[in-house]
Amino acid sequence: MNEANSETAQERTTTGLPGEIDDIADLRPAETVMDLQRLGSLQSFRLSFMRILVRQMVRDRWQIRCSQFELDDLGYGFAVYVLQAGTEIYSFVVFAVYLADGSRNDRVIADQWDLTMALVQGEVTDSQLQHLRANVPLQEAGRMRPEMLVLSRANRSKRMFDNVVDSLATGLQPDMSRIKDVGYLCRTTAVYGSGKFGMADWSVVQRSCRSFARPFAAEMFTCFMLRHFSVEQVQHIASRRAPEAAVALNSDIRRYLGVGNATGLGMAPFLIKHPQLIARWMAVREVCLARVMARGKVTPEILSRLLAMIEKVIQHTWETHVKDPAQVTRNHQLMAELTNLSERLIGHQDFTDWQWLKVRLIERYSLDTIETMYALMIELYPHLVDDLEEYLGADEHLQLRPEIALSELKRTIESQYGWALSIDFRKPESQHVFWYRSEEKMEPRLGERYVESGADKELPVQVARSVKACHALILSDLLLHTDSDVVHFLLRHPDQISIVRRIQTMTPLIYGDIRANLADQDMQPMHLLRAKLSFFGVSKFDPKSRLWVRNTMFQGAPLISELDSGRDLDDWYFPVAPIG
Amino acid sequence: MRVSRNELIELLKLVFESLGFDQGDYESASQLVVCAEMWGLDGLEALAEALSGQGLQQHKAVRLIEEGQGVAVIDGRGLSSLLCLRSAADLAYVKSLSVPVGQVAIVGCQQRILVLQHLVNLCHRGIACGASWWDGVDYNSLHLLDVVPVNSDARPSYRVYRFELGEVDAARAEQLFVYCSSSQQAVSDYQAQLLPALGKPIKKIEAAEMQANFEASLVAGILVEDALWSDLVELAAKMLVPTSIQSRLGAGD
Repeated sequence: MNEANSETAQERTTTGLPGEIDDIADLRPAETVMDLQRLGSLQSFRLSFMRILVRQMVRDRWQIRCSQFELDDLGYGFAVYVLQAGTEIYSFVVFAVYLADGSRNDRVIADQWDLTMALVQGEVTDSQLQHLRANVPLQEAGRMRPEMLVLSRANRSKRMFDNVVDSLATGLQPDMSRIKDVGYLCRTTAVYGSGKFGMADWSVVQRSCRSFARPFAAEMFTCFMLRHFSVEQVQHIASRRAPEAAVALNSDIRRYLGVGNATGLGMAPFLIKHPQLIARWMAVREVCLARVMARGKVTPEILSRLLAMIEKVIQHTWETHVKDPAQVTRNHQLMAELTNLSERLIGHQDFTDWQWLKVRLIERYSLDTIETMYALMIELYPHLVDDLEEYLGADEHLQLRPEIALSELKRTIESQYGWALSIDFRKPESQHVFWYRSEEKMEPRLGERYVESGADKELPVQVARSVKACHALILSDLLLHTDSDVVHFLLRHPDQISIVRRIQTMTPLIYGDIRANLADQDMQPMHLLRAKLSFFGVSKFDPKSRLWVRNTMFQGAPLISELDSGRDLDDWYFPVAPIG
Repeated sequence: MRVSRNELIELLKLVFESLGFDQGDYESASQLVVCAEMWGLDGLEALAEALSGQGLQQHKAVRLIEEGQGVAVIDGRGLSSLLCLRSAADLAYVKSLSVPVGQVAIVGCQQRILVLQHLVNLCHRGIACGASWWDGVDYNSLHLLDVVPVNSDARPSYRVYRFELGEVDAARAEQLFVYCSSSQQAVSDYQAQLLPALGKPIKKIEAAEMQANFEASLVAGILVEDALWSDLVELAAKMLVPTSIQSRLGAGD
């Protein structure tokens, strides 16, 4: 993908950010930014949700205390943690049960887990706890209440959990090579919010839970608490097993341990279903980059910090152990290119603006390296970008403009959706796969259209095909109704309302829709997963097939005990293992 | 049982999809039901009525049968409002751009109370709007829905007036009128001109009460009868693909 392409950002009119806080002429064009392969190269960055949450916790000095810790000798039972965030109070409630090793399953379709948990508004009462105990372990099969914000579950890492307990119980710290290999004790397999199963509606959370008013903040906090509990659980089991000999995990290892995450196809339809939100996230990221490019001064100190950060990324990538051959190749290429780039930067320490670096990145380096470097450059200038934290949410309401001339809609499609019009959907490979919901817990799945049944129940994720079909219909309709407006077109073709509403909502936004045919034979769902996960702030991207991925969350993040230390704890991006 | 707004909307999308609605229609219809229910206008009752009737035949297309400057008439062909209002409100909006009050009449449509969401959508464009219709059973009640913009929110209110049989032209009784204007006063004047003299309403839900209904539903959840919920889940399940070894592979293994 060539960044220096012909489309200019100015063809679109707005980032969607309130008050047009930046000049859109400085932004990278949609053709570059919304390309699927590039989305699949994004790295977590300074404004990823986990990073924002941790800054918020430190800045506002959140207080978290354990109010109940009722685990037996083997670590089964429940615990309640109370969060005091300013004047707001929340409870994190976790239930731990025995699960046979052979019963662990990371898929949505699983029905048993080592841990199940919920985040609840307020301090839980006994009757609430009773309800939670009866419903949270059932997950999707339970009924939740409006005071609940998040429902989640997790499984132990078979490779890590027992090993760490064994080490601690014998008075030893766990083997760092194993810790580096996995990076977590427990792995979450689903995190639900936004009104699922009777929980609080997102608009209520936004309005009445100031601490969690940003997208996915409550979900991220739940994972943060899971990380904390998983450490307390292993320490508890070890101390019960060997009260005299057991030791606690040292704080460097605790900090390095994150929480694992397994993510499947469900994230992909989310990206298509929430186009305004995704366009907003991309706009925020690109405005960050544009500000750095335009206003970030390149000083010897900044350059020195950048070189140190590159070293850290190389070390982090070196410590990322994956088996997927394609990801291995990408990681090796990233390390090689960053090493090469670092040497070039040392040899050109007199450059004074980022444009010099951008030109060289685009000329010579892979997408992974380019996007990694942009994430690092953004990291260097907190004062230029941190105010954009407030703009990651979007008012999601697709709005039709029925008064617009149909010929104008046609021109709009041609200028903004040329990428969709260029796809030949008559080719079988262009329609090779279809997305659907399985009857097993409504798990989103991919099917092969010409092999499997179920295409008649296809999920509506094929924006490109719908746009192209709509355009063709407009062309034929205009032959008979030259002066038609959109509303009259829709009265004649009511089945086009949805796509026209989407087109008219998205075309003014600078980043518009994701530019991909999601039914194509060669489409990589992993790119969609990575794009969303990068905004969550995960690290150690580890594809397990082309359809699901493991990663780590909060690795390197401060511990609960450090939140009110008053220190700057915002340096945990691209975490590396502690020495020793 | 109580369910969240999001949960109900997502379930209803599947329900309507299973009934053959296309994407635009099932997205819109789910909003229509949930909106009417949350504001206190018994959207779920209207849904149950629609599900047991003949008004959900997706293949029937509404027709624009008459059109002039500022006015239009659409033949709803006996369909539910879930289907036959499709572009009616948008057409009223377009009409309002060239005359003080744009009006569209929809002839022969059922569950007209569900028009509310369309009016709320119009209101989000910053215009005032309303709808009126005569009761479809004995034609002796006039229903009025008004929605006005307040800041960036829509504020609906609802009134019902009683009339003696014979006071209403049978042709008018079959229609749903949707009208809108950039001027709230113009909408009020239009209502006064269009409708017979109104006495004291026999039912009235003020804007504040409707707002309170909406807030309560949002915060505490929407009350759905267990039997209806079960029916909806059963309908929605028709859009789920049966599992197989092959399909299990299609999510990760």
